[in-house]
Amino acid sequence: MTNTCKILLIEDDQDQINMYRFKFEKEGFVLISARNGGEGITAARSEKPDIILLDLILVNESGVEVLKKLKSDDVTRDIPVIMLTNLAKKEMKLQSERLGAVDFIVKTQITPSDLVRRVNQELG
Amino acid sequence: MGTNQGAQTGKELGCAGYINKNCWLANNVNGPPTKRCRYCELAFKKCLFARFLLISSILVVALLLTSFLIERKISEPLVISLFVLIIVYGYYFDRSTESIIVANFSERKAKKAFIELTETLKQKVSDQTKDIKEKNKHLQKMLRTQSEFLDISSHQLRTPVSVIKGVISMILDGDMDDLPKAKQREFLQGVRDKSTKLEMIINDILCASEFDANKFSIKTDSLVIHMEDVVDEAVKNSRLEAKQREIDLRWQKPKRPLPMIRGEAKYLEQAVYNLISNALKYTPSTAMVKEARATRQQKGVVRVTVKKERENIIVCVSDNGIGIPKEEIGKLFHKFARAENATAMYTDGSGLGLFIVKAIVEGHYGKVWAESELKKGTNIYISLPIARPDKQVNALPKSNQSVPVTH
Ligand SMILES: Nc1ncnc2c1ncn2[C@@H]1O[C@H](COP(=O)(O)OP(=O)(O)OP(=O)(O)O)[C@@H](O)[C@H]1O
Ligand SMILES: [Mg+2]
Repeated sequence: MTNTCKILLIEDDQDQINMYRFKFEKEGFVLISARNGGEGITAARSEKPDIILLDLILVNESGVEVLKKLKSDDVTRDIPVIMLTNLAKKEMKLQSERLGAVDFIVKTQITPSDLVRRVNQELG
Repeated sequence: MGTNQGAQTGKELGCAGYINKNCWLANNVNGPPTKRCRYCELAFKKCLFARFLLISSILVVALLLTSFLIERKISEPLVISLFVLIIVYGYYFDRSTESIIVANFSERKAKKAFIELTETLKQKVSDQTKDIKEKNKHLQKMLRTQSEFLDISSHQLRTPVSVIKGVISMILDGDMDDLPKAKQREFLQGVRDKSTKLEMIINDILCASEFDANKFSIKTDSLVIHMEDVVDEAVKNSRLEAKQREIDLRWQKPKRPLPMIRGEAKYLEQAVYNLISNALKYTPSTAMVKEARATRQQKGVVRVTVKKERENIIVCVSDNGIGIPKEEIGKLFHKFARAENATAMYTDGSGLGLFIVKAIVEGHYGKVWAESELKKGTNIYISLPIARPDKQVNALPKSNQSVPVTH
């Protein structure tokens, strides 16, 4: 695992950003964060992260919409996206899988190290 | 007599209530059918009276002719019997005409009744369908609200849990061992904040679902309390948050006690606390405000006041924050309702705060309302009726805020 893997975290809760940033940076990743969909898409286009962690519930838009946009953009289409959420609804899970998300994770069900493991698995 | 045809072709003529004063039938046949006689002014051929005249004159002529042909003269008995015949004929004609008209009338009446009956039946069916549809809609809405309640609640509840769990598991994994103490503390404080938040959310959700299920209202023997004490306590509990958010929280307890109100201090305190916490949440600590020429920095200020106005005690929480869009003010007291500009800026919040405030205040026979201007600020008012001294109760004070009326 190269230590320069870039992760984009699109998440609206600052405390969670802090937590995941700490963990991922400790594991040697570079973590970029965005607090809304628009920022997230811009960052995805300009920074070209290796993987995107996307919260399902964002302030003004649904994460699914952001996922749609990411997947319909040539620049960002091939970046794997893991949906992170606190809203475990089957339809949303199905919908995001249909749209091409590689995974759908309920945040309370995993610890930060689980997430690191999952990301490594996806990249490795 | 073939008059039924007349009834059908004469539709355009005698509708209900039509009377032709010159119509012999209308004037001579008794009972309600005359008023509805449709046969007058029909084509001559179809008029019953004309028919009577025609037939009787044909009769007269025919009889006269035969007798004249047979006896060569018009005898007295012939003329008399002729008249008798005509009178008898007239009498039966009248009877049968009447019965025709009556029959026609009752037929129409029956038809009308039948139509009316089908109409009422139709109406009833459609009413009931509408009723069922409405009930169904209501039920669906309820189910939707229920599932929305669960969705939002589960999201709200899980968010802090994921941070608490995450940070603690990192500590246990030893991830933070090399971290300076201060940084560790920061994470731990985050965990503590999230647990407090979690507790608050749980309380809110429980409270809201309880208020939702059964309307709360104070008992008539509730204690009388000083609202300014309640506000004082709520402000005290908000001080820390105000400091953290760097907002100037201004409150001056009135020097002279205000008239007392009847109520539950604990609930009212929560209502006022919710308002203050909203004001703190939806007010930036500093904002740039455009003025005529320059922009100037404005400090976030939340002001709490309490005063007597006529028969009420009015609490006002005002701020100079983001304000509420005009078209959204009305809905904010509903469960889960949040305004666009609030969700765009702050993700925290379940939209239960004001719903709870309304339930509490209305449970105290009071009112709550909002005045706001977008980007300028918001005033939220609670008005509570002053306790009438004649409604004294002999309950003893249970808490230091609750004092029975003594004057
Ligand atoms: N002082 C205020 N200034 C601007 N907007 C306000 C203010 N108070 C309330 N609002 C609006 O009313 C909405 C509903 O408020 P309410 O307290 O019910 O919910 P909330 O603050 O979003 O969440 P919580 O349940 O955590 O209190 C807010 O989301 C916000 O849009
Ligand atoms: Mg609130």
